[in-house]
Amino acid sequence: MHEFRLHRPATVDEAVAAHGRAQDPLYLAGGQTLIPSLKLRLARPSDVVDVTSIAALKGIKVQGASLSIGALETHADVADSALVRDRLPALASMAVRIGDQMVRNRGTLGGAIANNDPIGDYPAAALGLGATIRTERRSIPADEFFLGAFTSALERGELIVSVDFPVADAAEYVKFSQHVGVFVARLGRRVRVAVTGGTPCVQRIPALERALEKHFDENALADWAPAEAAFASNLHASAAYRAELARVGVRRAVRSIAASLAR
Amino acid sequence: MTARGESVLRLEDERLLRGAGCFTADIRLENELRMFVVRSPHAAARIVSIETADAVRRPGVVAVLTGCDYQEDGWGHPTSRHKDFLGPRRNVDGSEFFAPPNVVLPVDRVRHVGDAVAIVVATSLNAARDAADHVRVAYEPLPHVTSAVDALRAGAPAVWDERADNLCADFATGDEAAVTAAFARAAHVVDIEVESQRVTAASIEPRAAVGHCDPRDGRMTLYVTSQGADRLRRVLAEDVLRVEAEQLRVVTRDVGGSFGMKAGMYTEYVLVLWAAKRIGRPVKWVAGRSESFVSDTHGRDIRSRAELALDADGRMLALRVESIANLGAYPGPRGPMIGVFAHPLVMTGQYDIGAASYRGKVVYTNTNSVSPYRGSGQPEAALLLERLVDKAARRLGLAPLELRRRNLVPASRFPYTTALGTTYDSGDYAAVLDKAARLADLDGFEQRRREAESRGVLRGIGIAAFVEVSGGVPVEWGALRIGTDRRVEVTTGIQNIGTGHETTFPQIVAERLGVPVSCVTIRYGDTQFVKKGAGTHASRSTLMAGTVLSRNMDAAILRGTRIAAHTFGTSDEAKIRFLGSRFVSIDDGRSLDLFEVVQRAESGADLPDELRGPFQFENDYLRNLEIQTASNGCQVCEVEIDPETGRVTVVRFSAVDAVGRVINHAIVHGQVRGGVAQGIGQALFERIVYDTASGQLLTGSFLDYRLPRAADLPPIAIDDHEDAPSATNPLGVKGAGEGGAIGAPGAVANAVLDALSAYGIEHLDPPYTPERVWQAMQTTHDRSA
Repeated sequence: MHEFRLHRPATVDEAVAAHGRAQDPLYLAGGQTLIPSLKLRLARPSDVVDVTSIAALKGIKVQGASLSIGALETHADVADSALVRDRLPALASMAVRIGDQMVRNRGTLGGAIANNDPIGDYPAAALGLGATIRTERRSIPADEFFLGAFTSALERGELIVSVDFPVADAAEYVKFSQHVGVFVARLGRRVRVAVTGGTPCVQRIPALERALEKHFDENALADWAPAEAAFASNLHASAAYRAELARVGVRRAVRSIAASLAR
Repeated sequence: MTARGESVLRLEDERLLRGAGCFTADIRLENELRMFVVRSPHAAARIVSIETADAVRRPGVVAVLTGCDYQEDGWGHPTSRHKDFLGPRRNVDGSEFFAPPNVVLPVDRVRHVGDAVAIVVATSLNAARDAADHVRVAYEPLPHVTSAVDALRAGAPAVWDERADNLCADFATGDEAAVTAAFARAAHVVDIEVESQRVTAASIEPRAAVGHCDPRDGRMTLYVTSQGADRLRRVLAEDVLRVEAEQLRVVTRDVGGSFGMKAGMYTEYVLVLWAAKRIGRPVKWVAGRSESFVSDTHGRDIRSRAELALDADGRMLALRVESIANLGAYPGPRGPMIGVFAHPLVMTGQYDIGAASYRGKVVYTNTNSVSPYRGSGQPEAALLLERLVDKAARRLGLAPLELRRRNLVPASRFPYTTALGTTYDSGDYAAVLDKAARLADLDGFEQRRREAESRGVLRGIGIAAFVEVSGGVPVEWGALRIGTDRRVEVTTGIQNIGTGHETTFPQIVAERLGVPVSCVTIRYGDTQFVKKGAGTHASRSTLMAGTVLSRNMDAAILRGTRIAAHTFGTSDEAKIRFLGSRFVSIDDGRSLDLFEVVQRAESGADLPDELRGPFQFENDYLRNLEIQTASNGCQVCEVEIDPETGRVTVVRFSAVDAVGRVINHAIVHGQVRGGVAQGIGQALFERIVYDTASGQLLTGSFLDYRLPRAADLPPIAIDDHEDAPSATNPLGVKGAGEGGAIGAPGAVANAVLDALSAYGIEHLDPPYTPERVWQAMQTTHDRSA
């Protein structure tokens, strides 16, 4: 890797200040994307601000009708959290399927959301649940956060502190590794559907959401065919295949939620 | 004490698992420098200029060197050494195979993405990499071609100007006239075209080397991860430095996976030695994973078309195969060996086929070189043949097992010479087939299929029977020393590459000499004491080095017998028996322990001269080239396919291997298990992809190159069949390192195609990625609609 200056602030304020002073800085959390990028010399930051010592970025707690999860909570923390498993089992089941155990032990919620990988799992969960991303300076609804591949609404130096996930009546994440992920949530009368693996990044499917709000069963999918153009085409899968997987994924998620609500 | 066949835990594992192993990257020499290789970003380009002045001025940089410097120093280029394997074989037109040298640093032209063009040597890897960004190479891109089929088309870009048709080899064998005649009287003709896609070995330990040149006497040492130190020493001595091999030392310590990929000489190994000599300090190179993807020789990449003629009863009359093998840009360490020799070697598999012909074209393309990878041509042959046999069974309305059974070489016919001229030593194929069918519970499949159907899932079963010819280079050397310190020291030219030699060889000694395994030391991997050796490849270690060891033990026992006879005052050696670890007089029961005999020999106690002196033995062994040591096996795979997504899951896998006598069952089963895992990886996930338009490697990381994971593998039921010891060697052993990987791709492929038979799909090439399977299902669905 290229040389850079390393900062290890103890507070959010110090982190933001260190970031603000540097010429071409990057925040480092779990490093699951940044460290390989550094090693491959794809990233050339002048400064790396390691936020992993900031206690204020940790913690999982109930906040009103939401679960508030600190940005530094690892995927393994979220997967193992009794609170998450009780209130939002779909989120825990999403987290336990990210990468492998080593990745889950290191990778963090904040990092995954900020990175906004087009095939990322957390963006699907955040958008699918209608989460709120809280930074040191403001709160951003998930609907306004994910702007494009590896691009978010975060401003220069802005640091994710926590994410509030509304507790859904029922939710399900269906994942086809490296291809597509589908997060479906029922929150009262509202239904949210978020699909990852698309172009340019995670997206909602409003027409389908409306159909499911009327009739929450897989027949609601009958008239819906995902647009191929909305999906990425690469070495791993064509857009046509991804579109089909999105259909299969929504169907399976709806079936599973309907079954769980019937119990 | 342990007997042959026992599953002694591997003695080397404690060292390796505790992190006490010593891999090449662990070797640290005083004052060592790090080398970074500047590689071509183009598939084909003319090198206009290389500007190094900026890079040389960067901090920590000691030297920046190019092909022009290499030329000036007069060092040579490694050749492909294929004549070691191919002997007098020629092209169909009588000409020699076209195999130019493997250019160490090209000065005029690059031929694939990753081709080395310059090196930066610096005090740290980071410094070398930083400086490499400042080496400015001006390229003039040239047209390129990445697929072998495209490279054979008229007007394709020539990888080498000397050979406009891109052919390295165009080889034919077998009796085409007999094949044509058999096809004329056939009741059925079935054909198939199958591609064994390109894969990479993906060893856990990346390639690495350290070059050292002793400033006092100029003696050069290469520390390198390899499959046999002496093999590389000879390439260096003969091709590169043109000196006596004894002037060089090559050392290989622990090796973390190789699979054939580490058997040959590589550019970087020559470069560390050259740089070390030029600079006067040790130079180390360790591949990064990205470098491994572009520069470790790849495997497979053979497309074959086969036709099978059968009579009305389903007896196989003739087989005709035409193959196109992609060799890459350079001939690599083995040249056209796979396409000319290894691929046709077992092409008729376990079947008694009256006539066969083979034509193989080995083709240059603008891609990284292809060399042997676990099974080397044999997995490609088994996939092709077993797919063809399954297709034929379906056409003839016979069960796949039944069509195979009707055509197996009967046990009574061994030694059996195939229609392509390979002589198999022994086997009982029918017994192995039956054992595999039982192990796999073939009879219960229909019930399992119906149960899967009730879940909305397709289930298929596939069988693959195969032959694994072992031995490779037909010569081997080894030494044995029995000391008065009660130690037995075995020196061998093979290399432990994770293959358990530090356990197997002591077991062989313990069984024969009656000494505890813990008394035995095995030495390998350093040409300072390994005078010569062809190394580990082609599942040859126990077969070849085990034979050498047996012969050395024979000599030791013979000498011990004479010493005992002399001691007991008899001139009749037949009165002395070696029992357990003692030489016993059958006249009066007097006995001498092996080590007492050694003591007598060394002290010379009133022995005749020829019996006196250290108990040291060595011998050279040349195996019989007329007969092959041929293992065989049968694997049965069951898969489930999600019809909505095309996802294939291997749910059951059974493997029965007949590998002659077994020294250590756990090690043999481990080899089978690992081979099957690699074969499943090849069948379902792995593929190296070059972009046709740009010539770029698209699968340059584990993000894009999918290896099998533990969760992808079912429990693998393994059994072995020990009824057919080989008569080719005193231990009765056969090769066991590759069978798993030879059979598995065909077994998985047949299972997938069986599951897809309801869709009218007759064939699909691996890897069976979800999308490939799904697309095939859509296509046929559309057709039937």
